[in-house]
Amino acid sequence: MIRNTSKYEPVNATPVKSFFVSMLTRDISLEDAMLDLLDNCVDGILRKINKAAGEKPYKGFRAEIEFKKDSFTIHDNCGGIPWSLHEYAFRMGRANNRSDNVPGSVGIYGIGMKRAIFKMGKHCLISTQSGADNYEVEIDENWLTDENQWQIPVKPCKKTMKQDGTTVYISHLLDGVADQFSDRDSFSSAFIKKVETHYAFIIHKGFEVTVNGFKVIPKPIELHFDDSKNKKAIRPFIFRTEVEGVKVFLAVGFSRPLPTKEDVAVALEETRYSSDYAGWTVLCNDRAVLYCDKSELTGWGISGVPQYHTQFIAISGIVEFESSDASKLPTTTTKRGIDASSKLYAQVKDKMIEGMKIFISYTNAWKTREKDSKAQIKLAKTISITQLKREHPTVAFSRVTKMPGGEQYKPSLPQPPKTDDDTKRISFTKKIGEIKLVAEYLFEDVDENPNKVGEACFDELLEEARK
Amino acid sequence: MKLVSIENDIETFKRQEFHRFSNKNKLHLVFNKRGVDGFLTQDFVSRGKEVFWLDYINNDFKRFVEFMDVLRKVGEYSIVKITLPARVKNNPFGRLVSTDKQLNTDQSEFIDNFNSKYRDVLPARLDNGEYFYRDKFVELIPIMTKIAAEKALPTSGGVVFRCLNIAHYDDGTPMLSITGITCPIDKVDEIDALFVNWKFKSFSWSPIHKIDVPFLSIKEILKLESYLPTDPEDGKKTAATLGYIIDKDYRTSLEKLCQYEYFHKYYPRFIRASI
Repeated sequence: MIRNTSKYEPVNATPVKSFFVSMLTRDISLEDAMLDLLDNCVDGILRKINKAAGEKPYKGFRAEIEFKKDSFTIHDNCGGIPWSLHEYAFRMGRANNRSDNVPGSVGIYGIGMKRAIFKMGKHCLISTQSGADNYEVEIDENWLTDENQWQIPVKPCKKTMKQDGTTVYISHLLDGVADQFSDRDSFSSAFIKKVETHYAFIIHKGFEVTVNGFKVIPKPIELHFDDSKNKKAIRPFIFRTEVEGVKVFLAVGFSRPLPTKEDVAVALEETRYSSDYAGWTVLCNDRAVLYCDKSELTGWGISGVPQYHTQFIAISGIVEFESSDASKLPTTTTKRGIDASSKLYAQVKDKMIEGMKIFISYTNAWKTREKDSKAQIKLAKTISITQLKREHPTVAFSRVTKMPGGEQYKPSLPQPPKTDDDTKRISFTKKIGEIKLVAEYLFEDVDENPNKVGEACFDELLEEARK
Repeated sequence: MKLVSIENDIETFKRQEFHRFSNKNKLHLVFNKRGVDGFLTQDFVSRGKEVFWLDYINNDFKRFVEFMDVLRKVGEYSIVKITLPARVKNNPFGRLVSTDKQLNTDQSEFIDNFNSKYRDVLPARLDNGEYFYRDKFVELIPIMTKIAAEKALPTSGGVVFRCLNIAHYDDGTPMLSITGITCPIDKVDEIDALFVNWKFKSFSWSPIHKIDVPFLSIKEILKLESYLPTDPEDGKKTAATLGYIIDKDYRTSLEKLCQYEYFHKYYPRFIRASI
């Protein structure tokens, strides 16, 4: 058989626009795309400042997001995009030979801003000012569909901004996006919640974000830390290490007193709200990639740790990964999730489980004695992760020999007295109307806590019986 | 259209039963321990256009969840009204003096709890008392209800909740009533056209119409009768007709009479007379 080799010519492997414009955008939610634009603002700040400087290195920097049913705008004063970075900023993907890393960034692939724009609309105007550089980049619908056009026109800006920064204005919104922006209040509320969680730590370090005029105010996760000299006291489990250029800091402890049986019932009744701050938060270069997670991904329900339940509402943990090389961080490409296959994360997760077990054991041991436990926990002040990092030198660390190495502080929590006491729990059920009747009779308040009503009945009869 | 009244308190249910009007086929009384939630889950099947009035005596978060459930379950062109107290329980805020005022521990704790409880229907985490000072909470409820409505019926679903009226009144407790209609998004303009000349409309969730009609004696009502309606409805004509103030000062009196001019024809009065 004679083979015809002449027909085999090199095949065309150049990318098509639709791959970037329509395909890549499917892997990311609208909210995450918007957060990508916010990440760019933070990268802008990191190019300007020394992150290690003080507790509020991001102070004075802000981003304003505004959306309506026909447009989206993000405006910041975070330093702008220097012309020297235009190739990185506007090229689809990141070249291998690029050496100008932004220390502290989470961007690796050079796709975030472009993907966010394509996710939202068919027309975009980017205006930026960085020192003497002041230019505009416009992407329109023709550019998005013209397969032969890969150059994006750039022209000088007509206006000078008061401060160096960038404005991204997107219009001709895609239908689905316009629909979501039409529900302006609910989408804004949900997005603010996402910024609150993912940017909590950056905002606490001074960065300001507003969405449709509402300032984002995150509630910090704080842990109880007893700074007395008591050996047995409420303090978090702390672990720290550095592995191949990635600094790790982990703390898990109590963020509130243990819940009573009634608290658990109320939390279940009022659905998830009270559990908002329970679980694990994982930060990569200050951005939360997981927030108050209560799944197997953070150790709940595996390796002897029970599944998360409202009775563990008081347990909160934080892990911080920091690296000047974003590719070493255990995040997914969307930067809003953990790369569970990361070796470093697997090793750190063992430490998370080790720490968590201490507080689960305490919770179980003090069950039915929540009042006593509450008093202990309330004795310990609550401190933020930043304060904890500052305070933790006061506790004694021990070396960790097992991978990933490092050192840890294992708290010695108070134990309940031995249960050879002479108490027994009484529990019974009565009709609501009857409980209310007795509550009114004893407390002149029909809404008095049923437990108190039951206990008061017993105490009154006990007094009678003792006479 | 069949009327259904749902009660979760057995004693109130019995009282309703006692007061039920004679046409039993039209008014269906339902006792369900789980209230609206239980009714929607166990008994309710949508038959097209419905009218729902969620008349609540508290504004727990659960009320917003029930409102969302109702919106999801009713048919297109259903009227849904929700009435909630326009104040929060155990509110430690008084009258607004200055927004710069430092919050005390009680107030901070209150805001914290409020944020935690209602976060799903709040525009953002509230960090100051702005909405909790006297008379301000009434402005927050429509925002919370709008978020709930948008969550229940997002634009992408094709059917939305169009707000028609928001009324604020006081019947011993300050209350807020929000009424709207579920309609296909492409019919919103047609719905708006039906109500465009209605003076109580609150498209776009504003304004909040305050109802604070003064109690006048029969003699006063009869005297004012021939001067009504007035144009403009600013209270001045009725005030001049009476010739005296009916409240603590002239301004308040004028406000009340303005309310009377505005609402008098919606307040029928029944008098028993022997002929």
